[in-house]
Amino acid sequence: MGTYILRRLISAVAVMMVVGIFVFLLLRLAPGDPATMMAGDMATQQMIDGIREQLGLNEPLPTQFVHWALGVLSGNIGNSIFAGQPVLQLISQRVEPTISLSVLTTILSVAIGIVFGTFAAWRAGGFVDRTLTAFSALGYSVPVFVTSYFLVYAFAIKARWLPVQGYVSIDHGFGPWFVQLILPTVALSLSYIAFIARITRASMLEVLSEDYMRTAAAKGASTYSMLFHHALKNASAPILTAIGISLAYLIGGVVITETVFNIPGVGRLVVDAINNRDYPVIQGVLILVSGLYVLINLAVDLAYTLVDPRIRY
Amino acid sequence: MQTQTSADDVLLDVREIVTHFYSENSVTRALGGVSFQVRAGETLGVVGESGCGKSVTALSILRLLPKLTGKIVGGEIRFHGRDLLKLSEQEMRKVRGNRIAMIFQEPMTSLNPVHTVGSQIAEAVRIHTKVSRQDAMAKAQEMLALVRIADPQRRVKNYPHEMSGGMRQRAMIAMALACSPELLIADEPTTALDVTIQAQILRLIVDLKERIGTAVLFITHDLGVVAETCQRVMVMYAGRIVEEASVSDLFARPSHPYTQGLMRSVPDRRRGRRQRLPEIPGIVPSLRESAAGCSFAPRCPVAIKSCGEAVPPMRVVGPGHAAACWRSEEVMGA
Repeated sequence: MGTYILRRLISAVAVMMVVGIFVFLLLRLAPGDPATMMAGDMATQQMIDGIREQLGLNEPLPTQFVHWALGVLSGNIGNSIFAGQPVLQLISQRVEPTISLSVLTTILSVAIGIVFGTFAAWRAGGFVDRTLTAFSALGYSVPVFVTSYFLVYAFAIKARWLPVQGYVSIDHGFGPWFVQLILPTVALSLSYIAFIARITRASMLEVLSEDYMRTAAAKGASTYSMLFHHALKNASAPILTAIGISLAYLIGGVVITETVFNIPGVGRLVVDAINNRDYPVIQGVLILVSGLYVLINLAVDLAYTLVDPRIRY
Repeated sequence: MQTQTSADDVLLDVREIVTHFYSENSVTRALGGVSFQVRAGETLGVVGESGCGKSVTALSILRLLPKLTGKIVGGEIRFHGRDLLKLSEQEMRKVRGNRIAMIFQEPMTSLNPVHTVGSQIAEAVRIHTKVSRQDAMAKAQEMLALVRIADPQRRVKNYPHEMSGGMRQRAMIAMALACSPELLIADEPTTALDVTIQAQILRLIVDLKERIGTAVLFITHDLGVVAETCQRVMVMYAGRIVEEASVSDLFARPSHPYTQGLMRSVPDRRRGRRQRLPEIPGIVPSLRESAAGCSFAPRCPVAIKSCGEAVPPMRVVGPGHAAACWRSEEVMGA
């Protein structure tokens, strides 16, 4: 197990190197001169030269890469062209809302998705099951921004139960923080609930027809125990995979949701950076997010061993 | 069945059970009116070919038929005089695993792979008795020792995949007997095992049955197993019981042509090696089309015209011996 984790971490380093090269080249291979592009339409030659100097673009490519990679390794991803601050500092200022939204969305999606999917499988063909089918068609096909605006219209503007947009730091108390996050969380969760519920349903349906489920019934086990003690743990490997995939996609969803609800998170930072052609910020976020992906994948693979004693690394 | 029974030692009284299976566009009559009794402490064998309704009979008794496709449409299943078919699901759960337990054919797939064997046995105890987790685990260990698993202290913590097929079947037996049920339904418990392991498991079931005083409904397709384990036996064909007798009577005077066919298709050393085993011609009829007469008639060597006209009822052909054949008296002992 220990060696497995070590091996995986080593391969993670390899993956991160490939990502690093890609992110590095992203800036250098972008069409046109990056310095000109970054400087914008109204730039003087002097500004362009300054940027080129700052990025070391006048040096040969391999030298540039070594410089950049050493910087990244020592925790210096670069400075924002637009804001002038170190990228890492910019990200850390924006990370709280993003983590809040992601964690709440994950909890909501996993909890409701699993329960919904389990009941749909238990009463396959019944009311809950058919509702799930309809709901997941909606969840998949309606984009986040549409559901977001619909929810805002219904619950914030018409009913006036919840705030329309914005973000309150958890420093100001759990209540205000939570209330502010309800709408964005629900809007973002819908598609993940649909996804996790579908996977749970399919996986549970398979498990429910296994011989050991009949054994459990023959013991006199209750429906609750049959579903959640005997079946769910057996059905959980695909569900864990689905949760891992959801977490990966969540980053994309967060960008949209933060924009719609005007939440000052990392997603907004990226959108702004793209609009401003602030390449170092985009690079920094890409590096961090891909590192996060690698860790999520490792966590999912390790979680398999917790639910299935037959899986050992 | 008009066998000599006093009302009070009858544990299970199955009366005219009819079980249907439904598919998209057809209904299969898996059990066409099955009646029999199990007396306290006895071992009753059920034999027949695949698909004759043996397992469906077992699942019907515990009401464990597949929820969407299987249904008991008629009859009574009296356990201690109480009709199990009239119990609520909750009341039925108190019977399952507690007063009637069951072991299955496939030890490899019948245990939950993600829970330890010990916790699965302990679960059976905890469902039906108010004991602490620790006491239940102690009971599980005790049960593993009872089914002669070596080193039960270590084995309770094993997962099913860490055990052999024979050991898993022992664990299943331990689980089934943990609450000292009055009736154990054993559905082909040795079919999936090696021959040497089969013998051990059979001996174990017979021994434990004596020790705990459990009655056993022993389902098998193997007449040899019946001879070793059972006192009485019934032969099933196409969802019906066609003959019922004590084991010695059945072997001495099989009174249904189907039983006779079954016995002829068991290898016999005296017959010499090179000879082909006689088989029963034809195949088991589809239970979808309901024939008017005896369902064995199309394959029967002694069928006459009237066999295709009316279903033969069970008729007494000797003390404690009944058969459902119009020509029993003529074929008996033939």
